[in-house]
Amino acid sequence: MSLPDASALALTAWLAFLVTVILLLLATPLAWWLSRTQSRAKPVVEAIVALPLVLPPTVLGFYLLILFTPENPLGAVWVQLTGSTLTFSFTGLVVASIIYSLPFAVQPLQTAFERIGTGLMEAAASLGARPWDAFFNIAAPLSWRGFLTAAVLSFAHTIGEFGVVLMVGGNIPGETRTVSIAIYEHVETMDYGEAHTLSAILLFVSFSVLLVVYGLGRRRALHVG
Amino acid sequence: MSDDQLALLATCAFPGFTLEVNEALPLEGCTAVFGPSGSGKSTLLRLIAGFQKPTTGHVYCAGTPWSDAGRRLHIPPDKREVGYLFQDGRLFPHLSVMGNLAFADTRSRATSGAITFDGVVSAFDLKPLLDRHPESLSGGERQRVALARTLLTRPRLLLLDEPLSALDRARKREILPYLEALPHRFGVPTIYVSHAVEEVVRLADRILILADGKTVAHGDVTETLNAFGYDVDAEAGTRPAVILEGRCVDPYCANGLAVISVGSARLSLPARPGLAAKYTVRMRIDARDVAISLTEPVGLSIRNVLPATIRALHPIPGQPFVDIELDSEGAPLFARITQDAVAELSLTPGQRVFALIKTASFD
Repeated sequence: MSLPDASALALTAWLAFLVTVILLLLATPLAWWLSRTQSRAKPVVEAIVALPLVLPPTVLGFYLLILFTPENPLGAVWVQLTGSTLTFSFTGLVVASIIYSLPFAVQPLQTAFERIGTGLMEAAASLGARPWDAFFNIAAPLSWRGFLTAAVLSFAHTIGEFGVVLMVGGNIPGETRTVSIAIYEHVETMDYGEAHTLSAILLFVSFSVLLVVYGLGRRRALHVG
Repeated sequence: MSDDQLALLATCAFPGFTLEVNEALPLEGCTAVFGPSGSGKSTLLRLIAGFQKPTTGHVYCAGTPWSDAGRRLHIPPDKREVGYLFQDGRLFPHLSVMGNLAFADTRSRATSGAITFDGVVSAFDLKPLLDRHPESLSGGERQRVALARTLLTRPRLLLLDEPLSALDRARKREILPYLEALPHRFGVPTIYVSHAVEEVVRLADRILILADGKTVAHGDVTETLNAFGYDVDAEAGTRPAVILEGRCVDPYCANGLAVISVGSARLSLPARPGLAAKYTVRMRIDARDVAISLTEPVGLSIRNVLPATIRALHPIPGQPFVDIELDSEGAPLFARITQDAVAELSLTPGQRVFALIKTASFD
């Protein structure tokens, strides 16, 4: 494997890891709110969260590109704050990936939280547990499957994205050149050998991760009942 | 607002149902909240616990505001020092029995000398269950653990929401002694929601009867239930029954019977755990379990005989029975017998007779 491809692999792994961590932090309160609220805004928020599921990645990428350019307020503020642009940068890629993978983190968590119901949370409150305490000691451990699914899906989905990366990040080695972009490039230049290597690695990693997750899920399920 | 009572002056409005209470419940002993399904019992309990905000009015506990709709004040349940036992126990499925108990124990802020972890574990016989997980427990064991867990919060007030309703008869009998021992052993004031009059009679000192979201009666259990006379049983409909109050003379004499004095008479009933000498015992006596004799009987299998005077005869329309209203040394009693028997014995008001009560009817 060539050096640029190794760098693309490392970049992709780092991107997916970062996005997964940030997504879990963002999606948890959002999913909790969605699972408890009776607000009229709930369907609107749910629709917005689910948008990346149906929107073509190029459309999402196009809008994000427009939003990120320094001519736009958001892009301009970012340049003022950090001195660099969001477009064609690793940071921009992280932000875009978070939006793109949001439903894959929110939905499993929301389902898990809804399954707990209000009963056990009321019981926790009646035993003197403050809301945070009840969340961390009752809701979170009972939703571990939801957290696992959310993390795996966010990670895998970020690794596999292509359209959004191409639109927002372009193809800058070491900055925005992810594995899927690299594979595309190899195929474009008829370099099937390199494309095979990278594809096989992604296939192997994806399968291994899923195998571990499902295996773990089964063992824990037997133990917890 | 007195220091030792729970002052409730509140309404909770829902579509099609409104709970309206204006009561002061003393913070001692056991108060039963009694009424048919849908009468607002659970809503009242949730209002006291803080799971339900009053639409108008307030809830004060010992002078401290818990909810006050006028002042937009609401102390959340986790800050109320109230123990709540749910119908279904609601044990945490990912924690062992030990973990469930420890959850409550470590979060309790009050210090109560009467309630210790080891004390509660032994009082509820939980030692052999500590390592088990909730899903491996029977329904009765689950409620026992849940009750112990609730107590370990060292609550100022214990709220029990039909804790026996999800259990079968045998399991109920297994839990009742623990509930019965609560006030004597741990001294926590208790509000007990139930639609089963036997439980109320056995456990409560006072009763608050609800119907359609409103208080129908509130007072001493024996007096209040007897004043209702004919239709006291929410589930069984109209069935005359009375509550007799007695004092335990001997909690466990020979043959597994306990001796209870009622006025000048002595009754024996099956001994049960948790009973101790000098306890006041309430017995619910169904009119169908009472027979009448003109003379003091000898050579009869029925052990319990009370002298009584007939006060009135109530024929039951459409049925061959008559309910005889009796007075036994000031205590009311009903006997349901056939019209034929009334004619044969020529029973009339004012007549002195003996009421015979089957022993088994006490349980």
